[in-house]
Amino acid sequence: MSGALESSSVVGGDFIDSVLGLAPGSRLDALRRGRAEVRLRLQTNWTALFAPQDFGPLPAHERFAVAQRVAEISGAERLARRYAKLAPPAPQNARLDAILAHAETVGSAPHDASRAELVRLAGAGLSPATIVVLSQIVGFVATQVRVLAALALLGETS
Amino acid sequence: MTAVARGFTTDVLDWAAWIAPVDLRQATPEQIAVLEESGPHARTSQYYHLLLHDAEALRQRSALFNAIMYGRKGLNRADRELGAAVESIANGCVYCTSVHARFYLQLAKRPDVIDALFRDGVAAPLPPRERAIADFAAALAETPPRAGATQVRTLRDQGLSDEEILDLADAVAMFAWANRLMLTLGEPTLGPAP
Repeated sequence: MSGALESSSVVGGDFIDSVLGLAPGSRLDALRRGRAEVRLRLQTNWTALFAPQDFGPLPAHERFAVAQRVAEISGAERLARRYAKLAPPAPQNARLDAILAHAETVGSAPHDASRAELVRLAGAGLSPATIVVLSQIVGFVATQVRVLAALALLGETS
Repeated sequence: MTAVARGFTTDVLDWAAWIAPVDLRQATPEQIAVLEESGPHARTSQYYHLLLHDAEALRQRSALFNAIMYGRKGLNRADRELGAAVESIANGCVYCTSVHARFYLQLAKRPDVIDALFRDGVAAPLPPRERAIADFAAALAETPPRAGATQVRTLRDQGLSDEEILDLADAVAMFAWANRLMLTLGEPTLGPAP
């Protein structure tokens, strides 16, 4: 059913395949398709966080900026570039600075993120609901980084 | 007042949120539906009540978690749990470690493996297959991940297929997420005194 239009859009296609530049029919493609439910759910999680029906308390530009930052500090260059490309223009302000600083701590050294971090975020105007969405995005990108790293490794070392 | 849990354990712990969870009396029908889908333990869990702030994200995350940890094909469940436990120890996530080290114990009946990991950390001396799994999991857990060809080769030498290595990587990747939620949105607590 899915035509060229759907597969060319990020929402209709598979985000991880697209970042990896995975060729249909390749060994890695077969490996991923052997775990169809995992592949599908990675994509539906992407949609829930980056193309939701309603962006709610965390606007699109903040979501993509967080994803880009987490990918950068995780050494995932292609992933970071992809999020940068998708990001709507973001006004720099104290709120975004606080969000990105938190994303960096949680992304790189989650054990160091104390209760005081959340107090700081609340001080920057973030509600509990906003903090939850932010945390889900950091966590999801941390997952993506490792799925991508493993697939790249398995592709290199057959 | 419950005490904060410190140090790795396979005892059953509780978890307390640092910010306000959704008040179920004011929850939307969608939030209630997602909570119902999440299983009986979710009804009384602050963790689930907190994540209900974004019900659709919670729904999708649970679906991914189940696909990765309970997928019927491929790597046996004990080894997925070992990967999850090693990732959680590497990140210092006492709560996730308590759950998944306990599941590993129940499935693999290898208390020596968990004892060694708790005593000496993720680099502990282990039997070769468990050592290969722990090496890969600990390396993939780092930020940036530093798992490389050497760890993959060692897993293959231990008889893991590429499908099984991907299953292990997915479990570790899932816990990169779970650890970050558990570590940064609240803290593990000892259950109320009996």
